[in-house]
Amino acid sequence: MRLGVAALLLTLMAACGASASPAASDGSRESLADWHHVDSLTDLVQSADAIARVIVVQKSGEEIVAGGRAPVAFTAYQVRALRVLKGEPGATFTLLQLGRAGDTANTYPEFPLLTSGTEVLVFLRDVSQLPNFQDGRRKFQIVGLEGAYVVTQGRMRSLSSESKLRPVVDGKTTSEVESLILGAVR
Amino acid sequence: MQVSPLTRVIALTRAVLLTVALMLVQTQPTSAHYQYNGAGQWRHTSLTWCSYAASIYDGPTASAASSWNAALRLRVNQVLCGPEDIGTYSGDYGCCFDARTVICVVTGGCFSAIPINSDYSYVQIQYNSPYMSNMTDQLKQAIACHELGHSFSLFHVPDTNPPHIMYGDAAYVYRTFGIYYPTIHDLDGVNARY
Repeated sequence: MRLGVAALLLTLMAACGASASPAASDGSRESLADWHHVDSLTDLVQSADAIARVIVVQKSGEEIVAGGRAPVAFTAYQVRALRVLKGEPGATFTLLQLGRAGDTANTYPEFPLLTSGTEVLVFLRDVSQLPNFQDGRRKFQIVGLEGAYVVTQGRMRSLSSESKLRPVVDGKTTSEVESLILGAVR
Repeated sequence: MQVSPLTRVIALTRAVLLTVALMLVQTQPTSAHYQYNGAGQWRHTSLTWCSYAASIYDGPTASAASSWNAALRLRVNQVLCGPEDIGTYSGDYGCCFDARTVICVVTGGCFSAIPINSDYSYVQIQYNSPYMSNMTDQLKQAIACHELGHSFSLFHVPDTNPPHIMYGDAAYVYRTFGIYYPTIHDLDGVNARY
């Protein structure tokens, strides 16, 4: 019996020694996208066609950009502007976010999809005139992982866990962040 | 209470074995120099790629593919399209990514996030022209190299110490360290899997 225990220990040790290579990252859910990051709030403000704090009214559809076996999918939302800080997106407009629920080829755990009723500050790119998105409606994309901040009880939190601007924005009040943005717009 | 010599030998052996086991555990690497998309991989090591992308991406992708051929067993060579293992595409996908990789598996379905635990049947790499078309060829090559790394089962490494092409932001690795090819650590990851 004891010899058996010793043999088992030896086997475990051998297995331990054989696994000297680093462990695979199987436990987390992250994507195979090489994100385009923006490093400063000033760059983000200047690169955006429009900036607005909005309420997500409802999901309004999906947009697909064709290409090979795995087209790129966007979820479309109807949103209502609460305050516009740059540009003229309009009182209501269509907001496109990269990703689509239930589509494994377009799942981005670090960029969770918005939900109805969420208040969010968004940095926007006008894609209304781009061939891949043109259908006569006014449409804006969230510019990237640094482009969306959820507002909860008057404070901001980056929608994306991978946003490089988390230290700059997260935890600040809406008025604090909007002041920073307006300062960069001017 | 009398303890037999055999019992003493067994107890001593167990103590020694446990001590050695603890030492082995403590000498395991504390940070990974490569990580995988999951358990999934190609079942063959001679891979092909072809371009459906704009021609400006072909040279950098070819150079990136050649640099991965420094691996011990895995090979990837350009062919005329259809059929191929890896296809490159480009377009105006709008925001968010410089490039992305989508891995299709033999059990069905394509995936843009890990874990991917089934064997690979096809890989699609998409270059996002609004961000990539004006990049230098070396930067394009860095990004192509990174996406090809995903095609060979490698996932992102968490830091740049030491630098890897498989760090999550290939453009940062290029701009900071001048790396646009797989490092020895990236190649180690491929060699350990294939």
